[in-house]
Amino acid sequence: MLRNNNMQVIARMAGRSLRSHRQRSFTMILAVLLSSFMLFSVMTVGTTYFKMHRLENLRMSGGDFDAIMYGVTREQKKNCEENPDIRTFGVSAMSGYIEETEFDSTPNVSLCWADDIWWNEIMAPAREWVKGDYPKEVNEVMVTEYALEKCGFQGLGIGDEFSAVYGVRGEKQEMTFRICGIWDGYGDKSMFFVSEKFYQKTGYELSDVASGRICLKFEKKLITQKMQDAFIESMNLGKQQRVLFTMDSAFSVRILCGIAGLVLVTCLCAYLLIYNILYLSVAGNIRYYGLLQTIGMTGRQIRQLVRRQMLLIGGMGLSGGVLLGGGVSFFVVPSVVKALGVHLGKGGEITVAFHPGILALTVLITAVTVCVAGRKPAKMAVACSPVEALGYRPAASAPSSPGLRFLTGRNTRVRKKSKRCNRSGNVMRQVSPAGRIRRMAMEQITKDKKKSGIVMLSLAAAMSVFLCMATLLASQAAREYNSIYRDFDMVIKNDTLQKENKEERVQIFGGEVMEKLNEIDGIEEINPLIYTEITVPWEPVFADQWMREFYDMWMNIPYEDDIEEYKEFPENFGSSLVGISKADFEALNEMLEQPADEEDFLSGKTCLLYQNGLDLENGEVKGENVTCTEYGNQENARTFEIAGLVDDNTYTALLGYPPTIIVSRQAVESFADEPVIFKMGVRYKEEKSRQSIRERILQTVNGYQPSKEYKETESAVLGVMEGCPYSRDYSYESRMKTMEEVKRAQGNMMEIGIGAAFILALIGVMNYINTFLGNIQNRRAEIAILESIGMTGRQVKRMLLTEGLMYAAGAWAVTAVCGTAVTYLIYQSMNYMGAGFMIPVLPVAGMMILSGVICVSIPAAAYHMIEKEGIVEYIVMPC
Amino acid sequence: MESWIVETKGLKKYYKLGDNTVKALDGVDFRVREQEFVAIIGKSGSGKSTLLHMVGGLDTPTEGEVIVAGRSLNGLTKEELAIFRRRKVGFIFQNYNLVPELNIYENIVLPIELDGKRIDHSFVEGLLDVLKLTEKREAYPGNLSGGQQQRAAIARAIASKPAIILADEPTGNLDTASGHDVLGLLKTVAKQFQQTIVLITHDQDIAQLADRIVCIEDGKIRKGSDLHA
Repeated sequence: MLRNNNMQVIARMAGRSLRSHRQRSFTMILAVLLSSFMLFSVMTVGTTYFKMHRLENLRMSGGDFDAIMYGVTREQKKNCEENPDIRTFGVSAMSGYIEETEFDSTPNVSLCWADDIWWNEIMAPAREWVKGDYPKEVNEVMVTEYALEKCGFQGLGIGDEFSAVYGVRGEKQEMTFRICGIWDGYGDKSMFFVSEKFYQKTGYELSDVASGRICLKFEKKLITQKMQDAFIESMNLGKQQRVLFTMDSAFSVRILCGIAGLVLVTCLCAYLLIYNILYLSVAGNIRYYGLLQTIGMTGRQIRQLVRRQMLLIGGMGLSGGVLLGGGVSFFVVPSVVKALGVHLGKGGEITVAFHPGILALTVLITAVTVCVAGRKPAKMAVACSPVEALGYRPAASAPSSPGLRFLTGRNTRVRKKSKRCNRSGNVMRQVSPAGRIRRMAMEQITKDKKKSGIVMLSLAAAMSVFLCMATLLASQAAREYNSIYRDFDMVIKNDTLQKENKEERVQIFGGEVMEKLNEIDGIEEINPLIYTEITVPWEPVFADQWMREFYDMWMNIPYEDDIEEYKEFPENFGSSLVGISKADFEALNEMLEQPADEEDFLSGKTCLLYQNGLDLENGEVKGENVTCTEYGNQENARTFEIAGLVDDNTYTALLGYPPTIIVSRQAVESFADEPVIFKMGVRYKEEKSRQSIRERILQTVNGYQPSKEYKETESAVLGVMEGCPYSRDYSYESRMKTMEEVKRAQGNMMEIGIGAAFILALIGVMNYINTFLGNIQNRRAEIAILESIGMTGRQVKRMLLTEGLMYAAGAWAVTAVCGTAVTYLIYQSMNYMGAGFMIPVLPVAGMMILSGVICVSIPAAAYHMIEKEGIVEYIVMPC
Repeated sequence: MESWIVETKGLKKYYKLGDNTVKALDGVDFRVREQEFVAIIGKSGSGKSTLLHMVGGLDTPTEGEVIVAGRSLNGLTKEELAIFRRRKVGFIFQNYNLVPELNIYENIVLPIELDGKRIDHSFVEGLLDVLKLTEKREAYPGNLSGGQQQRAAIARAIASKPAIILADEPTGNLDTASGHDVLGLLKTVAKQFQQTIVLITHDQDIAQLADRIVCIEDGKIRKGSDLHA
């Protein structure tokens, strides 16, 4: 039999069918266009977001590496060289500290040597600029302006020299350093890089945990927990050694899964959108397909016709979507990124750009989605018999052909027995009109669980992304990053504690300074932490146990080598007695598994000990006694009962070998004549109480900006400190400074995240609109039946609004459960500064209200559309 | 003076179809007595369904008046018409028009529930019994035969004890045996519960079951057609 070429006529019919139903064709093309655009945008935005996140972590870590190890032996280094999973590694060594300069006796600047890989490969992406070369000679240093300033050498440049006293392994030496290079960027900038010659002269070993560092970059981009554990196992770590994986490595799998999930949800939503429209299109044309069959078109030809239509629609929509997506990628996003103030420097700034891989993936996914979405409607068009198709009305009587069953979904499921029937099955409880309407609305939602579920999921996806972004903005917004203890706004430290000589460790926050600080209007609280130097004499029970553990953990020599000296001259093993306030105690007590008795602590009966990383359990020491004597005055002794061990190093002044004993402030004051303030926390007056409504609104819209008063208070505090006699012997940390640093590091990550939320919200809402309107179209006859038996317009409207609210409630529930869980995981993956998890109430409430309004307004609009139509045409079977 | 449960006066319904005007009803005066069983017969497009829709408050006339149970439908709003339908009219359609999401019992009591009235359970049980639907009370329309669905539709029409039952080709979708069965039951139930029925059909045999036959042609009641069966 000769094959009859009828493709031409099918192509012509497909084209004409699209042309004759212009509005419907336009809607379908728009759906494909928007879906492909959304996929393109989500993937572009997702990729950019991923890169931004990596960049942020890279900046916070100060280099591009996956793990850092403290202390590295020759064997471990060799192990790394031979490990095929490690792409590269660089080593560095802390080579001492600048002890003092002619301008500053407490500069707080370290000396560090870095090998070629560390400097040129690992650190390079985190650097914004570098001038000069890495040091080669003993006296050469590579500096930052920040470190120079800390030493009091601001303004010096390449080729300039400066003298400084530096400390190496407890010894002080003086040297004239020559600046051979300056750099700036991200990471620890309070250090001078020195030459290998200098490092070798110091006698430090890479195996010293306090000195040697090795930064590792792995071959694989995704490092699972299993891989991390295997690596740690293979390194055979010593007791003091630690391996830390960067946040990026530790959570890369989770982040990628998150983005993949986002793409999947988008695909699902796009699928549903296309499927819904095609489904409705075929459903609306079922008589047309029946007619075609009546006049002799075969099933294969009808399938070809539907596919041809899909091809035309998909082709046009896809081209438009990709062009739109390309336009956005090329022009809009980079402009937005620039407008957001991100500077394109050598620090590895990301520019959103067109990516061929994303384009290919978009085309593939959209094509597959259109194909899959069109399959069922095509089957449906073929499966219905011509006779039934001519009499078909959606959602009316039970269809008998498989094709029509496709459309109605009836006759194919077995319904559960009504729960409203009593045991005998005779009497049913009557429901009120409102209850009946609610039940009917619920029936509609549960009728096609898959579709309702995906619509809810689609809405929930958008809400979850918004929730995630809002939470990140609120919790990880710069203002929430505060490493300062007890959430103070500023902590000022007494840097004379770093002096070797006890006489130089003095009270710098004397009466006059405190008086001036107290006079500042914007300060609410000043919380000084005081200390006095002590010795902890040897005794066979607790002191001996502590020192044994201490040597085991931190020292390279055995305890036995020093035990005799310790017994005879305990003053050579100094430590400190720290005095804290009641509020400090309460904060510490919260961290203890077995809280200490407040009264005993405040009365000076008990103490807490700083654990200092030792392998001691709380139970091992709790209840034991520790005795201390005033440094240089063994007559003045005091014994405290140990109430617990604490990890928080906030309350440590001078770390010695014996324990830091933390007691109440009164206990220190009664023990020593002149305790020294080593640190004080400053809290500013509550900002919110001083903010105007306008400021609060602006803060919600633009993100957090410190108020004018807040800035003024900080300036005033720094002004007092600058004016005091020890102006060079203090350092400080402030919430505002951290905030600026975090904001700089985060770049435009949040804006891109909000972009993703917006796109998903658009998909979700479109899907909802499409599904609901399709649903109404399908149910028009059913609604007409209800109206014919007496359901009033108001009742119909209420039923539709209830359905809308149920969709919203479903989406809220999914968001509350899954969205919050995902948000928490993502949040933790980015929580590099330990900010507290907090869901912002106002934006989330706003989101819920807005989604509720959308979910209710669409049914209202749909009803408005149908209320003008008559009932008769829908309830009468066409003859 | 005789009392009429349904009365139409000069009822007209015109549709615009392009430049032409279609006169679906053209001055129909029609009356039905209480507990009467009237059959309206006519060819396809004669206007019999339009008349039924006017009487049932599903459609509004171009001219004329419909009075049901002493109340004129003219000037009623959509809401008032819906309330009128659920209280005064019971519909039986050719394609049953049951709500597919509700089971048979729920379908039957739906108009009462929508009205917020108390359901007379014994009355409904009686109906189910007479219409042989007791066993199917929990079933969903999609799982029933055409005859069973139409019996359920009859039950729904009668359950709210309306003033009048309007049946539009109730046997049109049924085979002959089921059709006769359904009509027999309709008549029995109507008698038992003292209901008024207006039935539309183009089948002369079915029309013979009625107390009176009215013939409609080109939107008008044929003169001399108002016959007692």
